[in-house]
Amino acid sequence: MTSFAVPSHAIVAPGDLDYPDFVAGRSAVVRLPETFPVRVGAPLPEDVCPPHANAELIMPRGVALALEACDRLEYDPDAHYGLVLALPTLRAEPEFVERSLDAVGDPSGLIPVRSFFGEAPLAEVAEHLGVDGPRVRVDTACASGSDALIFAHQWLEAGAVEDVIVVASTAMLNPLGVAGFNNLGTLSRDDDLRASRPFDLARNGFVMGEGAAGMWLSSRSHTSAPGYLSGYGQSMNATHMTGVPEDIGVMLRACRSALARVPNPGKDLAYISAHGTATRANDAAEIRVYRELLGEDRAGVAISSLKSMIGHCLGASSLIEACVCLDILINGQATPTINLEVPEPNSGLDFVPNKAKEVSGDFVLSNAFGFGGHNSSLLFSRGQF
Amino acid sequence: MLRLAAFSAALTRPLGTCMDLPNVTLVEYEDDEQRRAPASAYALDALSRLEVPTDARVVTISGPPGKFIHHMEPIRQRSPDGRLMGPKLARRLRRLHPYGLLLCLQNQVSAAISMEFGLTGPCMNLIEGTTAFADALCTLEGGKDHETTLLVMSSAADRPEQRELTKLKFPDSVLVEGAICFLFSPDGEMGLVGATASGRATSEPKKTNPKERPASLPPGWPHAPCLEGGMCVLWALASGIPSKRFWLSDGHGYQTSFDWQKL
Repeated sequence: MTSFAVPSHAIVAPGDLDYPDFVAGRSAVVRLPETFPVRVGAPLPEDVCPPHANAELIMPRGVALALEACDRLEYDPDAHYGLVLALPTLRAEPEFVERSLDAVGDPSGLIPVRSFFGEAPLAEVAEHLGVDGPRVRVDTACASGSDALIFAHQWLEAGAVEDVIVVASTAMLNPLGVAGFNNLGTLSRDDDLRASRPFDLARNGFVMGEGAAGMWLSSRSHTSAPGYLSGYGQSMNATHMTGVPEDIGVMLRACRSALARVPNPGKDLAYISAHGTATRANDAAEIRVYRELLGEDRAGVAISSLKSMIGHCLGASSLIEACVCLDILINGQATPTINLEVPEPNSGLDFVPNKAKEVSGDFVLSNAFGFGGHNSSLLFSRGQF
Repeated sequence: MLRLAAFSAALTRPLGTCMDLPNVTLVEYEDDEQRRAPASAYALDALSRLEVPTDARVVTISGPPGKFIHHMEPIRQRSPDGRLMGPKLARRLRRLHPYGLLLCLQNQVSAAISMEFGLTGPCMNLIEGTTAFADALCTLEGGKDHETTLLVMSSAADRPEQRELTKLKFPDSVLVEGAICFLFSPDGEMGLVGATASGRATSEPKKTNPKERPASLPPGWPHAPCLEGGMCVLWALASGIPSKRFWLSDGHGYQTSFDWQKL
């Protein structure tokens, strides 16, 4: 598998937090208005992508966040790019739902929300970036960001294009989107700003966030590239739409595929970005995965969940986390898992509780385990590998 | 290029002589809204006629999964001011069926076929892209680790939420729903399919009229977002076309192409 350079990356994270905030253990979790069915969430500040009224054409918030990530990403405007957009469904955005209900019997009412349909979101982002190469839109739920990077890697490996911009976005932090997940029983219903507690014994569901990220992946030589995408693995659970498998073998297979060229993961890995949603089932399964993956060396690898600080940004989460993995590789500071007071007993794993930690090593692993059973692992390296 | 070993399809409208092909059937889908979206049901129906190794690499290209908005209507009806986002929203949203969310997720086709057929190999789900068929082919050709690749296209666009907008863009269109599956393997003998013979994408975008239908399919064929790449291959199989380059358009000025070669 070829290593491809990551010349630049950018995030639009809840609270507009960035890597230094994560190292400091800051949280973006705030109380939500009473229109929401749960008490806490991790939104963007109001001045980032404020809604703007345009009766003629309503831009989906998911697209607006994607464009914000594009604006923050440094890239060579003269290069010939492909685009992989990780943007899960936009059909839970309130403007779309309300207007669609109004349009029953009067389809002309759908005209202002035509940008929610079909290829329009992908075309919008491609035009904004000036992309003139191939373009696709990926949706593998919470693994979308990682899988978009994998698709970009495959394009580069096939020689289809030399540069790809990967953008991931999610905007379901609205009463309808939150209700969907809440009624499935996956959200924390705590009225507590520390409700996002990955790997804590008292965890009881995830806190929803929103955001976006962008990453430029290139097969050309970039001597100053801060990191490289050097491996990946994917698998499907084949068990349940929202659950995790009893047999963790399929999750392990994704991690091991990503690590295939790393001689001794327990010693060579600087850090693992866990999916770490803070649901009981996910975190329990991940603990089993990491114990098996790292074996006797498990205490020496820093593992943390960014979701403790920014909640779960669904389709954008794994690309945001991939960006932070690169920052960790560059700066040698693993971000903490905050709100981790009583860890699961006897895991033998270092979840970097509440305080950042210095790490060394040439590799970081970023994991995502999405609804629908999509398992996706990414390996980043400091140099070409 | 990828070697086509087997195919199947479940479609709601006939596609000319394609209906004479083995494993291509007309289906009528009874709404089973609490359990499974139509796009998933079509994919399961079509795939049930193929033998797929459980470690096969899977790519799904998913269009609209089915209707979703109707799940919100009872919640709006209970609003004092008749607006969905009106008063007492949090309380009214308790009535949203948990499956309502799952049925609007656009990775449900890949999830459903994985669960039903025990598929645990690598999986990629591309959505809302007629052109994605060709853009995915070059990545599939690079899948040396996985000898067998399953490509599934599924779409349920003939629903009120989608139908009228599609007709705004393509006024004379008749929509077809369904799923088309292709199994590619090194010993496939039906034909070769690839972005180009060299494995590179041929997708040099050309500015096209956004209202222009792709030119590759026979006139009068129904329109199906996300299915048209598969429909082209079915047409080539049914018509005995020896070789042809097919073009796909996204309706926003972007085109891709792929090559077909009969074996």
